Amino acid sequence: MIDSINNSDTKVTSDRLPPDVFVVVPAYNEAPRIGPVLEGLLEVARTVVVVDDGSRDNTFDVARRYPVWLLRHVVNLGQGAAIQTGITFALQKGAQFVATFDADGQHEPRDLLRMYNRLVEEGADYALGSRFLGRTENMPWSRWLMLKAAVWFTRLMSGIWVTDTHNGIRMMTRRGAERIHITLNRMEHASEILDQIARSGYRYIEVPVTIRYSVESLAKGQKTTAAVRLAAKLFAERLAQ
Amino acid sequence: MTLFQWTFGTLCALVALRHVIRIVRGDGSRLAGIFWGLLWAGAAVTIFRPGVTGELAALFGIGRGADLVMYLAVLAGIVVTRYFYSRMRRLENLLTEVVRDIALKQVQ
Repeated sequence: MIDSINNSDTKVTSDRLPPDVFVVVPAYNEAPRIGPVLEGLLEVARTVVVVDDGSRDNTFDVARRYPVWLLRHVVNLGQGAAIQTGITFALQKGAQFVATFDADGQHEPRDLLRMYNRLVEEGADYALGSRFLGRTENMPWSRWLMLKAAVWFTRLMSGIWVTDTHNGIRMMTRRGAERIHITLNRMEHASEILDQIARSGYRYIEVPVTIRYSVESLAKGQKTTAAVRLAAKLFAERLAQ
Repeated sequence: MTLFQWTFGTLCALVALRHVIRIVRGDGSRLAGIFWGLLWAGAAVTIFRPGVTGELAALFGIGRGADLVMYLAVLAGIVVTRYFYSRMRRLENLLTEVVRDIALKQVQ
């Protein structure tokens, strides 16, 4: 594959991201899926950081077969903690851009190229993936309803006006990543990130992305009861501040 | 005096006395001893003289003594919940830092 990339300040004209764009992949019990996900991702990204969040299956061993940075939490902490570990590592390694990408195969790797180009073109610090501006495949109506409720909940709590609040694909500049300090370890981190983006005062954009739901990703995704727990925890966190 | 007053009132008074003895002996935290001693002594007084809560409630403009006790219990519940939530979050953050540090040092 021939790349024609100059540096991180310029738009990508090839189909691969520059090496200083670090893609963080949090993974928990993803052994059956992480191989194909990394294969697809490595066609687009040169620097991938997999954070195995204390998986009980052989996610770590599968990820080891690929040319990626591999970090491992000795116990399961949650996706938020795994993302923060990846961001911290990427910044230590001199990343100029940091992206997050779920390990369950629901994202389209080429969306990262669009996010990168939009960040560079528009001079923003955060590019947030939006399935509601883009495309979804096989999304059940119950999930649609739950996500829409989350959007309104976030608008109420954070005051940030985005169309998709719990999308795992996002990209940020180094400056933007330095402002993110995730303390809510589990799924609440998506709202916490939006809170911190709102507080940073830095510019954010939404980029249309594709989300493909499969039986596995739906099984691993958030249930309605989990969404209620998430809302309760965010509320408790606000009260405790 | 009812059987309830004799049993539970005496029990509360004994617990309060135990805290006083611990303070005098210098065992444990003095502040915690005073807090728990006062709490148990208060409970004993309330059991032996139920009218005292009514008199206290009247001081605050609350109709019944039982209402005052309930308001105080709710307030105490909120304070205790917040305290333990903060402690739990601090511990969670510490554990996260330790696990993250190990992960960053053992990167492959």
